[in-house]
Amino acid sequence: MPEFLGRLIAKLAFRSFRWWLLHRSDQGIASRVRILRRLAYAFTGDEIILTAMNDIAEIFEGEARDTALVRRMFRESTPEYAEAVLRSLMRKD
Amino acid sequence: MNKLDRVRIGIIGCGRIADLNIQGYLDHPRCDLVAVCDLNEALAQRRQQEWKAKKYYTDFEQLVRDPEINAVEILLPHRLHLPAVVAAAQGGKHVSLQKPMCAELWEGRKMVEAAQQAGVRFRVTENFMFYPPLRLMKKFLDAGEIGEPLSIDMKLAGGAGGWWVPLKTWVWHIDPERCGGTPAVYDDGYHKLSIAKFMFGEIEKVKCWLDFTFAVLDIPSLVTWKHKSGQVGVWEVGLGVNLMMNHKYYGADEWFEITGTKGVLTATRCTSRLMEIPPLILYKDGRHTAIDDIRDDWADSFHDAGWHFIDSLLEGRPPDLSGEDALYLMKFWKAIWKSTCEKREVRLDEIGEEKEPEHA
Repeated sequence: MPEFLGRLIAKLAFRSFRWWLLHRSDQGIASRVRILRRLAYAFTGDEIILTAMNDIAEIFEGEARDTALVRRMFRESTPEYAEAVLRSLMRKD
Repeated sequence: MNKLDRVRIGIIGCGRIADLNIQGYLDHPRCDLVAVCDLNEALAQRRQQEWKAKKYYTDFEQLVRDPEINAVEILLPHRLHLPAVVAAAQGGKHVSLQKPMCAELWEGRKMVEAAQQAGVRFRVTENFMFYPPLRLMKKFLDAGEIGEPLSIDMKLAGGAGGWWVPLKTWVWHIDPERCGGTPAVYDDGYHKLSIAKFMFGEIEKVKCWLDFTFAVLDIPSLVTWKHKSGQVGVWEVGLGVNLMMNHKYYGADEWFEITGTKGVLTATRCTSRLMEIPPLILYKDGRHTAIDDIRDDWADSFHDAGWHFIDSLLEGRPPDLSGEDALYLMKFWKAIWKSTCEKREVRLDEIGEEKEPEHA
């Protein structure tokens, strides 16, 4: 995926993603991520995206302690950092 | 303790950091990789093939009973360090444990005692002490190149980028309960505290300020200390939220500077390549000397740490970074945390070794 597109997606999606993450149940998030994972992989063919989304699904299927931590972090995170993380995921080097 | 003819090693924990820790064990002419172990069987199998190990396990209790193995490298989440070290020592294996040693000092003490009782070598490995520019820096220091040393300054710049680390790994790292401390100053900090002690020896007192970003990252932080030998130290921990680190390891970089009465030594390019300047610079007598004909890949430090452990077992001498050294660094961390919580200067001799709780 081109870097500019990753940046654009990150900026547009961050706030709505954070809202979703903070308000949906763990199981709801896990099942949505599993569906999105297949779509994202079909669209990008990117193994890292596949692995990352699989990890996210497993975290939300796992212990509530982990998801509480993730939510705590996201509550204070910024679009800039989310963009940087996403860009780092998109790197191909 | 007897010298070994060959080191026949088992690797316990095959996650991300194993890519680096394994390097010295793979190319040492007198070391054989006998087995790997990971709870994740697919990963253990993959590592067995990748590193050409003879066998794999999914339970470290089984690996430490393997009579073919005489030493282990333990690369497990921090909360598993104590049971793994004790089991390995009781199995008669020499132990190299990935830093940080423990969450509580009594855990570290139990590890040291288990190794002593079993008559095996035990070290807590951290790679920065084997980073060639920092080792050369120490040589210059000891040779008096910059006169009497006055201070050491360290800086950690965190950002984004670097290689893939499983998200589940990040999650337990940001959980103080499972990590054993904070992700930056405790976990990564072990390297910096180790370098401070490597350069100037024991610490007299510390004074710190830790803040938190995104609720869980102990950044920005400032750690200051004074050595018993008189030098002062400062470590600044920063995070650039949009700072992209274009490098092959973690998304962070460090640099170190030691000032003396007649010169300055600067070492860079540790984890990453934030600044394309020579890995070691000596300034004295009004002149800069760039030392750039030196191995300076971060992986070199892991490689050399592995060789050091093997060579110490082959030569029958204790490796650097002993269990007692590691306990000392854990006290340094405890003093940092106490200083942060109590907002005051803390002397290291205030930190006692607490007893093991009865329910443990």
